[in-house]
Amino acid sequence: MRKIIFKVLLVLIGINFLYVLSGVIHYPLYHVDVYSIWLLKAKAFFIYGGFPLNFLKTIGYSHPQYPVFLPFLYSLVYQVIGEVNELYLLALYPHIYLLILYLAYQLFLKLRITKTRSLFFVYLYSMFSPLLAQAGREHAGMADIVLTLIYWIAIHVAYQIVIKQKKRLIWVIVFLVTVASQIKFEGIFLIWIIWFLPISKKKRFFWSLLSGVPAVVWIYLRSYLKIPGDYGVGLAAVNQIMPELLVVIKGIVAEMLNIKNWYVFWIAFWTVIIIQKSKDKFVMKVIEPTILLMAGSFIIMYFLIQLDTAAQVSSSIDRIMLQLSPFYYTFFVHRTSIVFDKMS
Amino acid sequence: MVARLVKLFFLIVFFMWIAILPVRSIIYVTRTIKEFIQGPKHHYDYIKPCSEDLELNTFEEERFFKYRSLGVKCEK
Repeated sequence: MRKIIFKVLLVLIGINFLYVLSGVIHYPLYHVDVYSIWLLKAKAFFIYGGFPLNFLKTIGYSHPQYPVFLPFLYSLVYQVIGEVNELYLLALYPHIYLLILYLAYQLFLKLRITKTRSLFFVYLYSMFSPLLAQAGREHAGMADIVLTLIYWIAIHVAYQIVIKQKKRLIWVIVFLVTVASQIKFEGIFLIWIIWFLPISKKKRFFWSLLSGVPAVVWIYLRSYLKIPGDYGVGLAAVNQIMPELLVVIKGIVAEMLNIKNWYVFWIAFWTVIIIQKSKDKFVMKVIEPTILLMAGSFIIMYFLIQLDTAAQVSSSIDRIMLQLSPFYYTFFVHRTSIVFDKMS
Repeated sequence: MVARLVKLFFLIVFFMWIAILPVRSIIYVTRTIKEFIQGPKHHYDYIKPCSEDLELNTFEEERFFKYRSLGVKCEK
């Protein structure tokens, strides 16, 4: 019976893969951010044959202040194929989706969840609308799913460091933080995972500083090269903090109740948090505190960005939830699995 | 008692979640087959670089035009 269920789940995940692949083939270049930020800059790198500084200074709507590592990587794909052909690039996205699902499956197995149950939870995850969207359903080309992949890899590496005591792998975490921070600035928030690894405080501080260097270099370079930003950053007035916090919380709750994107996942999530505590050392000591600090960092980021907070939250919160899904979905799966174990 | 009710609520919500998924999978299968039969629908395929009489009414159209036009030299 379990073998049959396992095979059925594989088929269902396969259907999702074909669905996102079909999306890439039949609806390429749909989301405005894809053709006005990520692929636009990739095209500029390819066409200008180097760092497109003058281009970045003139194309204000394209968030010129964003790090350019991902568009640069995409331009290398164009270099290999010899032309700007978006389909070759976007076809990577369904494969990123599959890799994410595979990493999720392997992590659940490591948390001592059975094969069939792990695959079942992977299938549930594979049906998240924001994940399907960025895997190929009209949002292929966005950067958030790439961060999701990096965070899954980081969790695996952290597991090796914490549980298997392979502390030399700290270099890999530092590398992943630097890459994430050069894809989108908020990728730097992955730095919090370093603080829950079994190393001394001095080493945590050192590795955190090291992994933050590329982000600082990019901020300096932007200023030196006079690359403009399309929004400012600054502290809100003290009397504005509470009203802004309420706006942020309202936006987050509204997204969690967005049935189209999440159906009833967030209701199940908050309920399982109430009824079941985590029991796994890795989940309790690494996953949960890291997601708390990463989420807190995003909330602070909303205060610092000088744009209308409500608009900023509503336009970005679904993508941020996708980015953070490796963390919160892992401890949701862990706790739900314990609930089911108690029932059987 | 409260704990049991909350646990029951969780199970109901969880099974509501699972119950809808086969329906979505069927929808995905039918959509995928339809898409492969009908062929690609290129977004804004009427927007081409160097088009003089093009009316761009939305910021999405304007940005798509700029994307398509990047690096293209138009003959005057």
